[in-house]
Amino acid sequence: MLVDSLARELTRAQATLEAMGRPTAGRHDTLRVGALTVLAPSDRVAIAAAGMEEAWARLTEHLGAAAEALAHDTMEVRLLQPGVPMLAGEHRALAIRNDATAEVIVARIYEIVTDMIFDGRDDSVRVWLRHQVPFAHETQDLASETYRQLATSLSVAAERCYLGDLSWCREALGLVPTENPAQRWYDAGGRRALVSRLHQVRYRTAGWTDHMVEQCTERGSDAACSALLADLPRYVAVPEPLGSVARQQLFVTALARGGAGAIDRLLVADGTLLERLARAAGEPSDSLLAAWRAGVLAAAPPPPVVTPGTRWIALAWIGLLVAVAVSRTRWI
Amino acid sequence: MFRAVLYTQWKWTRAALLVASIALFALPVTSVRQAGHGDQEWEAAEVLLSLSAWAPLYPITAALLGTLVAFVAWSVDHQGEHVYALSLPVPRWHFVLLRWSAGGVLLLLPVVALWIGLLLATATAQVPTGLSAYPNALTLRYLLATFVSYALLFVVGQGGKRLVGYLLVAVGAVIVVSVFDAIMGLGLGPANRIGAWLIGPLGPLRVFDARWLPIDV
Repeated sequence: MLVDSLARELTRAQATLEAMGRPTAGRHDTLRVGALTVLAPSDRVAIAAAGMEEAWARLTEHLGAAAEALAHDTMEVRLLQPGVPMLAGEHRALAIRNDATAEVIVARIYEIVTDMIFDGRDDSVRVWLRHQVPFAHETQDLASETYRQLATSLSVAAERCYLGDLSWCREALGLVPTENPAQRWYDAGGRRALVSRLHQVRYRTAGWTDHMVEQCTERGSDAACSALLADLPRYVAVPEPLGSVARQQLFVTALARGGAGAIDRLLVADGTLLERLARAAGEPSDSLLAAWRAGVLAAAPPPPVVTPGTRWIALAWIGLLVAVAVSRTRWI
Repeated sequence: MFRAVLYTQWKWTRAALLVASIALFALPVTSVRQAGHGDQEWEAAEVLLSLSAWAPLYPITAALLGTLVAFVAWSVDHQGEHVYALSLPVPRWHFVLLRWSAGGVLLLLPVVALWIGLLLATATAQVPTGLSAYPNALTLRYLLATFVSYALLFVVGQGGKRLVGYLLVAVGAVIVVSVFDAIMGLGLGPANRIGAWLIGPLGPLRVFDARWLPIDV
């Protein structure tokens, strides 16, 4: 039974490797759009071309001259059969399903190209972004998620940023170094909640005693909470006030406000990360942060009130159904 | 005559309405109380998470309440083969309006209980920064949802077993076509299309499609 199972897995793995390893089997055409050169299977040329044109338009809009540096690189569109897992392909190969839409191809090209631009030139931005350079046109999704984080974070840094104090936005976004983050980013309630959450993931807190945890979470002793958070293993960081999505939102805000050449300015600028982002945006750092915050607040989900449209539609249906009931002539 | 009709429908439904009123008063009070931690500071994320677990009870009870009052309004008439209604000196449409209005008035009782519960729960809650309380908005949504389901099921209840039978056949047909569609891979998705229309911009159940939270961002 086990041998059969392993044999099946082996066959499946071989099929996957086949799909990944021989992507260029069959006839391929070379497409050139702007500085992009893509090798695509003949039967996918039309959709790849459509994706490339859209991707190039976005790349030049946001990356400016940096996009021209791609002229020496060739990307390859690799098609996978549906059901074959999306393994990490080789660098500069777009491993996409063969039923992928042009929009998916655009997103993948953008992702790979931004990776290529940062590769070997600047790692601090990518590290700060947690290696997730955002797709520039996902701004609305990013802003909505950032709003959710900002409005519901346990951290006083995020709360004060939400209320408009930009110096706390810097801290919440990880743009300035913070000493003793458990004390700086969180108040007593936040520390207690952090301990409670971390305690649920027991492997992270192996050194904590039940007595201390009880003192913190049940009896509300802030001294106990602070001691526990100070005793975190070196590989466990105190959770940041805002996640990587908020940083991505600031990144795309800087690029959008900076317009053409924004990323070039970011790559060549000196100074702190915030100064470089401000240079990319072409405005002072406070203006950039204020714009980021305004964009995030503007993306707040609508309050759960009944809109006039919904109200009138409901009333119209109620009226219509009453009319139907009244106009019936049969008793049963 | 309206008072007589209202009184008879009250007698038929009062036990259920009283239970529903108590439950609906308790729903926001209990859910908001559980979302917090006594006198400690509330955490926005946990409040939302906790309230989200209770949220489905609002549309479900709204639909059940409307259904119950609508069916009770007609069940006794159907059993008596409408002799009582036919003996009254009013045309049929007038009697139907009396029945509908009486049911509508009775539905206000649990809705008002919910409203008082929401006002009490949110007034005594420590709403975290970034969140706001929406007792009136949730009550209005609940009122509309209850009346939409009441109006819909009033028509169905009025039609008696025959109309209910037709509806069950229609639902069965949609299920059969959906299964056939899934097997053959036709991509018609009839159930999804009907569902999307029902809660779509012009659909009768649009008011149900929302976040039913007394405290929200």
